[in-house]
Amino acid sequence: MASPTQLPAAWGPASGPELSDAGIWSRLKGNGTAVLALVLLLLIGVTSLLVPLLPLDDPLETDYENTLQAPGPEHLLGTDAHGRDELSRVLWASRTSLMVGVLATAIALVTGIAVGGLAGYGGRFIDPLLMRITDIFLSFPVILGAIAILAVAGPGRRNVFLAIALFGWPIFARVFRSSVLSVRERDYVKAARLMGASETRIFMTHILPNASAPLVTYTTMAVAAAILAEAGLSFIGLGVQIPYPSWGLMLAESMVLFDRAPWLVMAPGLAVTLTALVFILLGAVATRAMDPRKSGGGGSRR
Amino acid sequence: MYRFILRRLLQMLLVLLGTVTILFIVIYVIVPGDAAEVILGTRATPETLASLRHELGLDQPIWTQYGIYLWNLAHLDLGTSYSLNRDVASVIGDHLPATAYLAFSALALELFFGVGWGIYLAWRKSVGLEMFSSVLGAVLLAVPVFFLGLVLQRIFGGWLHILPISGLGGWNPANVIMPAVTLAAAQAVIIAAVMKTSLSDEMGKPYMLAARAKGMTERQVLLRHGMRNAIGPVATLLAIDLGILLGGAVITEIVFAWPGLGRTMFFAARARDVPLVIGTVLVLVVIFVVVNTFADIAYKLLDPRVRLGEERHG
Repeated sequence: MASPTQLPAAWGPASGPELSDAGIWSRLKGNGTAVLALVLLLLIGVTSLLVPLLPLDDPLETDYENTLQAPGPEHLLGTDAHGRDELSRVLWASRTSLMVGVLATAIALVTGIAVGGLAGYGGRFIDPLLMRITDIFLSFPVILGAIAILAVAGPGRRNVFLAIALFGWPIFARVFRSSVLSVRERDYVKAARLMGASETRIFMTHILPNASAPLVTYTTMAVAAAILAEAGLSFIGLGVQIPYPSWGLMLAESMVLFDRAPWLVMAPGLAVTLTALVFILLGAVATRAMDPRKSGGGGSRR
Repeated sequence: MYRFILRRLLQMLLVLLGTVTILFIVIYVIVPGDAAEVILGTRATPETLASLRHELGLDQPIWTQYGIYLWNLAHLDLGTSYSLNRDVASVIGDHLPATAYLAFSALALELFFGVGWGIYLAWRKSVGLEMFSSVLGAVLLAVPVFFLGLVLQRIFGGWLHILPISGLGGWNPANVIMPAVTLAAAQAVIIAAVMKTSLSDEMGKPYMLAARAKGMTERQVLLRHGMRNAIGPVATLLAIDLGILLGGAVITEIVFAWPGLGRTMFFAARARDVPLVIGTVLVLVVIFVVVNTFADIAYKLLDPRVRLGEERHG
């Protein structure tokens, strides 16, 4: 299972050059991957929002006269072992997946910014304290930490995203702290301070926007990791519970039917893969858009 | 150097203490109800509940309980599994070898194919090949291990009948191939990408020009000098990888009915067997932290720049 710590390493994390939005956007233009990823993201996002309005069967309605039907005009993706419409279940599950992915990452991101920001400003006592706490949480692979929480607090969608967020924030804290430390020393920050701006104002107008750039890649990768974690946790029975649709749970329910009804395995499996892939591609695109080497600026990252 | 090792070990102890504390908080503070209720279920009488609470020490103040918890851990006493009615430490001891076997097989695959593919990419310098590799990497990162595992199982076990579908098969090497490939696939491509970048960076350095000017072939330069100096970032990545392997192994083991810790944890979690789940998580996290620390120290010891610059350059 992928965790946010590992993902960006492959693509080379952006090392935090400050770029204006215009710079990033101009580099996005003419980039096929970026366009593809954004279009897919839009498609998945809009579909999951519109699911309740689409003319779909009830994802929970069983029909024991018509179980394990092959894909056909009646049921585009066939039916499952309880005669429920697979297409409807796959689409409804996208809401769970995206909600957990986005919400868990949002909580982790905000917590990470708060802790990392405090540490970056904290000085001699608070900084090491917060960073040691960060190290401790970082020592839990996200999925293992989440399993511990869920085994104790009980399964369910809400506990899943809280558990993922609880072990997902440290990477953001660490990245944001080092970013704050470097931005703090920039000339324009010193200038603002000399001109008498308050620390709060300096933080909000200079440090936060400029130190956030490296977080972009980590955020998209973390959404992908959270989506995969939700699927994994639901697969092992600690996430979304029956009869509610979740891609991981649907795979677990149908894995023994692979020979008789392969569509029941392929549909949710490909759905998770595609959704995670979109966020991974976005991360790769963001990394490239912010990579100083691609802009001809030169200089090694390490 | 010794100061570095000492500092790193102290840091490790601190992190381990923090880790066990977090797990203590998870068990004793977050739980709705307490262990006694979980064990006895909802139909227990208040008297039996009270007596079991007393037996488990749950009626003590929280600091005393924390002290007892640490004391027990220091004696490798991880409590008793509710569902198996056995000592947690011995259950873990039974299943750890299978997980270690799987994790190390996956690590070996990652290293061999990842480094090999990375070198090939750096040597061929083909833009198309590199593009293919990064697309493959993105897709493999996006595929959940259980889906990849199920599909491989179907293809190689169900249809082609060339590999066993599941189980340890009495430690038969053929049985470890599919689960290890499932676990290693995405990481191998990541390692290849890191290796390729690191090697290409290295190949552009001036000492490489000197080596080439001496008349070494490109292949000799790459393997003799490039490899040696470019492997650093890959080594760092491998230590982090172990955490991912341990986490991923949990799910892979379930798909392949692999009798390791992940599968144990899976059954324990379903049975709400808190001591066994927490004990397993604890052991896996401790392994992760300890291995990371030692990898860090080893890396520092092996780094030629630290070893007083006695490294020969050709």
